[in-house]
Amino acid sequence: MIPLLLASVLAIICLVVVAGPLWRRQRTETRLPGEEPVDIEAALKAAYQEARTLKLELEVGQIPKGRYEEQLGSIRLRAAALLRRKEGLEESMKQLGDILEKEVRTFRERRRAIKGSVDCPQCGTKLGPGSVEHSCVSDTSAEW
Amino acid sequence: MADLGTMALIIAALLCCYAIAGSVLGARAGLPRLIDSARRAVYLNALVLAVATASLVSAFLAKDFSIQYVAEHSNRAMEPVYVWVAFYAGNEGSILFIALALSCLSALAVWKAPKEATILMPYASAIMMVVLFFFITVMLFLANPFATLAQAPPDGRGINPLLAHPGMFFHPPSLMTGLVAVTIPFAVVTGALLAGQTRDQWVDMGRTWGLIAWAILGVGNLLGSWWAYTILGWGGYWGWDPVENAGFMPWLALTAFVHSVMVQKRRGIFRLWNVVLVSAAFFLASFGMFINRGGPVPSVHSFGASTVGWVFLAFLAVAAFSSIAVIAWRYNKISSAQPLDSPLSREAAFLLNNLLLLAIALVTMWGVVFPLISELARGVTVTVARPFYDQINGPIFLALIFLMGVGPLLPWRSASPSDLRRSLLLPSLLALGVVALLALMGVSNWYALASFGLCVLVVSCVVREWVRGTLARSKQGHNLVASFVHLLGSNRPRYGGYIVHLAVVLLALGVTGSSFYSVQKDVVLAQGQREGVGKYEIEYVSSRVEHKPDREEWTANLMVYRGDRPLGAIQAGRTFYPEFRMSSTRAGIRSTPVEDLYVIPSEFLDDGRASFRILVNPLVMWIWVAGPVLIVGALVALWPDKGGVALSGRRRPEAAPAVGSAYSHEL
Amino acid sequence: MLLTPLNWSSLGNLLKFVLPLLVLMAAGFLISCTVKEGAVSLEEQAQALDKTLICPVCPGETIDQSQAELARQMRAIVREMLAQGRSAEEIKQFFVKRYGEGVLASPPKRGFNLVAWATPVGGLALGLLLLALVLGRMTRGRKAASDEEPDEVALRPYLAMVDAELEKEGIGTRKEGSSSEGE
Repeated sequence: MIPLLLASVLAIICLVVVAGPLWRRQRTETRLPGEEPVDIEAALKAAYQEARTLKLELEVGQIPKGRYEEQLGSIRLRAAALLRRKEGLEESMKQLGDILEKEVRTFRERRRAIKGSVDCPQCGTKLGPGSVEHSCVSDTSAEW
Repeated sequence: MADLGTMALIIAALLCCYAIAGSVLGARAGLPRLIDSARRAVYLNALVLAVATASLVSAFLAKDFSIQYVAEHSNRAMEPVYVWVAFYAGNEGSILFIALALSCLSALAVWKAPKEATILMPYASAIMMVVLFFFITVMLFLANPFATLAQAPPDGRGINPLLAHPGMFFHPPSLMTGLVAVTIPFAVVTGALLAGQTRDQWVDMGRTWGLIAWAILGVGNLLGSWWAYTILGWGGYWGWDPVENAGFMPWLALTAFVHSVMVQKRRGIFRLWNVVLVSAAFFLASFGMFINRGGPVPSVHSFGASTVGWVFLAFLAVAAFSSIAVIAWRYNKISSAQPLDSPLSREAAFLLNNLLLLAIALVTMWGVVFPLISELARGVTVTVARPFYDQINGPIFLALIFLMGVGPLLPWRSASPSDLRRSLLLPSLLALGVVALLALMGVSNWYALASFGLCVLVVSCVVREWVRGTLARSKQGHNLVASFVHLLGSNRPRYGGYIVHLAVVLLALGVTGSSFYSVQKDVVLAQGQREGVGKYEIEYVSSRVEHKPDREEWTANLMVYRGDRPLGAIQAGRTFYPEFRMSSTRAGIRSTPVEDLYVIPSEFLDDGRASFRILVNPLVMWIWVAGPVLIVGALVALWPDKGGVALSGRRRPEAAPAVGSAYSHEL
Repeated sequence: MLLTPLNWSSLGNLLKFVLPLLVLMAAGFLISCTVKEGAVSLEEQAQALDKTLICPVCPGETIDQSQAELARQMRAIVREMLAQGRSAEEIKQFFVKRYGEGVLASPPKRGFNLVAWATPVGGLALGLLLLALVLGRMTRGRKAASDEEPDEVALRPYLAMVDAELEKEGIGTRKEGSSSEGE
């Protein structure tokens, strides 16, 4: 009997632990980094590592000074181009974020203007026009 | 307790199914909560299998002979420490051990997965769980360690005497763990292909786990040799036995992989090739487990001969077929970022190294399967053993050592022949000098001369680089020791690799010395009689017999002299186990850096005399020294490189000092 | 696809590097096949023979390794026959007649068993050839793939960032400002 009891305790623990995340509220989506930024980051890392290795190869006498300078030059250019691409991406991501934020804001204001008052989606209290300062437990903008 | 074990296995099987379905569905449909939940199932599996393990161990400790496995692998006389060995002495227990090891490694891999691997991880963990599911179902349906006997016998059968040896505490576990650990890099790489992450997202994780499996497997093989050397009683440590080969082949493929993955890490090339290598390593590791678990070839190591062999064969076929299918499916997407600059470069040298390593692995594989081919083709049984491997693999090993000397001299991208000649000049002169010296000293075997010369070449190339690097750094105002440590820290994968190269040189020295210059003598000695072997004289002083419940232990006391000067006493023994009708030997070894004096009693005669085999094995000690050196090298290569992460160029130039302070590893 | 024209000049460089390797391997193989101990004692000859004969009753052990009774008898037979002046080949044949071909630790290099020896050698040669072709092909693409000259002016601010990073590690980027002279 004891083994059966122990086994069912084990099974229940497993069920609870495994089911845990399923019952959790949907957390605010943490955006996975897209493919391209990750790739650029990795390429950048590899470029710096290559520069380090190149320096090492010069120090231990595997390559002559001339080759070192020539290759370091091309690594620098590669890294700089990667940095530029990365910044371009970040810029466009930021712009996208700004646009979204603006849309949300105008939408809210329009709604407030039409209805005069609005229910706070978190706590349900009636908000009069212009009561922007109302705050409940969590930030509502994430839900919108 | 038996019921708890079986039920834990059932729970583990269900968890596997859930983890597979949950992570694949979660990844396909984009449900992060489901993926989280499946990940927890992976962690729980380690816990549940630990419970199963604990219940088997407690059955052993409680001497519960109603469980068949306990009754077959232990008895009342067994000391409690041997429970650890008895646990994996047979098929059922060793599969449970393998499953436990895989579940723990999977949990660790999933837990420690780097950020770049987020997208591929659900698929990778699904593959790990598929493999784990296979082992668990084999236990549940074919080899249940918790199967009970209708009537408990009064005493168990006892442990296989060959296993009652300190080497057995570590050799089978590390070999089994190493073999099954190959699953992790394979799962990571295949998971990446399934997830469409066909560039370098898997490289760091794949390399880390490839290295871990490689180190565990390497140490397992070395411990196996040590066990064979001290207990099998024939004076050798490696016999190209099928089971030894089974652990050796995946290690070779992994060695090739940990080299060529560096090319992908640094340059983004050889992507397809690395996928092929890791799949080959997994295939060979599965083949190794198949040979181990009741394979078709006879071996001194097959303790748990059984019928589960065919299931492993089926698993092997499915694994090979599906990994080929996955590679074929993603073939067009796996392309390398840039072409190769020159065939005279580090990249190309790695490729040649891969070819030679795979050649040794395939020759070994061929040697294992050729008897079966001959059986099928002609109906004649032939044996493929040591002479074959020595003659075919020996020269390839020499070529590999040569490459180990030259390869590290080559820079990445492209080397100029004149630079290479210049850097090779001093080491090769040194090597030739040593060869000439050895030849003058009377070493006449060409093989041995070549091997020693190449070893000198490798060491001098490594030392040359270390000296130059250290000097360059010490010019910046550090002392020599700090400069050297900093040099090693500046490129850990590279210098960890060089340390491993030194370990391989030690191995090569030991193997060469003992293969070509060992002296062997079979003698029968009366007590007080002396016999000369090489420059030693051995006196058989006395013997002692002890009768224990399960065995008779014979011990011979011997005295070693050089001339008239006594060097010390050694003890060698022989134990007979009536229950198993089997005897095991304990070699008496007097080990020095130059040579081992090795004595094994072959027989204790009724008239008080005893027959001994006495060997003088040169340089064997260095084979065992290679083990720790190899571990140190692997740890250096594995140590996480914090500097590389901080140096991501995330900030703008004006914020640069902040990045600089984060980059703290610089001296 | 592999048979497109190759970059022979770079392969020539490679050959200089691989050739000693090939010579070494060939030499090693030839030596290993032909090496016959010269003036050695009967006991040493016997020990060498022991290592080429498998004990028929023990799994995978030579009569040199095995401590079974049969192995002991076989060792005695080897010594007896050597003392009678029989050659190693005769002794091996004697045991083959008695126990079958499986008694030899490696298959004899003739007949069907030649396959066992020829396959690895042929396979390795093929592998080396394939490697040469692959290397030739991989290096041939290098000229075509050298990317277009990047616009250095537009990159200048980014180059400064890169240089700042490199400088911190002592990797000098300017010729005069280099922090260490390796050579």
